[in-house]
Amino acid sequence: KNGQMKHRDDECFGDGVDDFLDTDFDFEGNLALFDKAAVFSEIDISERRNGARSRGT
Amino acid sequence: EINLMEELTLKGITQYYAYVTERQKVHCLNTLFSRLQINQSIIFCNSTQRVELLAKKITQLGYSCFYIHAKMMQEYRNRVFHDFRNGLCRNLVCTGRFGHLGLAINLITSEDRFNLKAIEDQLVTDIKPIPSSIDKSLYVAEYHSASGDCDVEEVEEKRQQDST
Repeated sequence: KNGQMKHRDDECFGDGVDDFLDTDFDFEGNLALFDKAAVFSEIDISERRNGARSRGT
Repeated sequence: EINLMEELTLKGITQYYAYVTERQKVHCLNTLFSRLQINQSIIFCNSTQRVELLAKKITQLGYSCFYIHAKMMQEYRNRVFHDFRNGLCRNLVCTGRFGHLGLAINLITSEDRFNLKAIEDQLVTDIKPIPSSIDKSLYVAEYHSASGDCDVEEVEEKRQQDST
């Protein structure tokens, strides 16, 4: 778990994350990659199939 | 049984989400800082390590920043929060969550989808995508409709697992 956390920290604060700070973050473009209703529906179906244990794992 | 605390912690907070990857979080945050021009912000992280890393990064970006986490002495934490409340610093990074009047923007990664859904289900709320026009119009409505000092942005970084 700690290794996973460190990997995420490295990704978040590692080399290159400052490269695009002169430009605005593309909020709309990124939101288009996440269909919340569809994702939530998939989670519901998965939880019904596997039980509540599947949440967050 | 009615849990009034959950209701109280949500009242007056407008919640949005932005969809990001880990590598995009700093870029996203920097854009929010520059576009929203908010007086003070509180940024929530899920680990003490990340609190310190983010506070360092925010300082490097040229914004003043304090931080508080669970491994600090309570007396020192109180002092930092007191100084933040008095406006000595514009940004506060901390662990834990607490609500107050203002705007909350959740930076959601793909791995956070379960947490986002759990929070919506638990609090019976709908966290909407951040609107395309990211400027003061996101929070001035709340500012004028509320009586307190709600010119505060909360940026909450959601993670799938709590490390503490």
